[in-house]
Amino acid sequence: MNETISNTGELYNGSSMNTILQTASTSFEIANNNAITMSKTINKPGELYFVNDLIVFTITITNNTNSNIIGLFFRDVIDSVIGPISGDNYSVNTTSGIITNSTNPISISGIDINPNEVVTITITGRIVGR
Amino acid sequence: MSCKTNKIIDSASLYKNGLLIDSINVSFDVVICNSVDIKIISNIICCKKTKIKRINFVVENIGDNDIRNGFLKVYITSNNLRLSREFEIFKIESKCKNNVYIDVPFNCCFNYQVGAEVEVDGEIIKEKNSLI
Repeated sequence: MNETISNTGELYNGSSMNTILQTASTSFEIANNNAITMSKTINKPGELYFVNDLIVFTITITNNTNSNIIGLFFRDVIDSVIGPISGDNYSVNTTSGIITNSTNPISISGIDINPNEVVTITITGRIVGR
Repeated sequence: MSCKTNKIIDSASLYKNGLLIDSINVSFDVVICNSVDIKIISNIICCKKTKIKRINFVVENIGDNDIRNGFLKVYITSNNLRLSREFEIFKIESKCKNNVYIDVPFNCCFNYQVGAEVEVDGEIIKEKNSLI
């Protein structure tokens, strides 16, 4: 459960604060550790990769709350054994956010996730020698 | 040919307002095979004016994989003297050659024990010695 914080403002007549004219309240939630979960998988789990094989990482980011989560930033430092696909660029796709860097390290900014929805990121590289 | 299975751990991180809120790892195994050949070329001339001679080492990557993080050591010994040169992060593309050398300030009439070794990921994949 997220923690709900309430905040109330009070309006008084004069500085003596004897008479309240109006009050107004608002509340907001503070995310707990389980608000967002992330998973990362590969396309050939349990199998060996050889040089020139393509490797595909699939990363899912799940919003486990009933509120919108906006403005997340994703970063992935690719091991040197995995080379780019085209020039210095890896193949990167995302269902939310802007790919700000498709070279190593890969970064995606502005990831927004609707309540109880999932954002999926895929990264494809090619196995190279050490 | 030297093959080695490398366990690779790749991580991803998620940030909000510049703060790390989650990170995750995935691991997988990669088989990398490397094959190199070493040729030692000496042009020992019993020179009278200069005692400096040069030993050339030609390292050829005859495998299909690039070597991008190797370690090359070449050395020469004569009696109790030993000279060596070490090259960290030694890079050599597949089917390419790389040349290094040692200048030898020994008396040219001595016998030389010359050697070279290539190491990748902590494992010596090729070594060669020669008596000149």
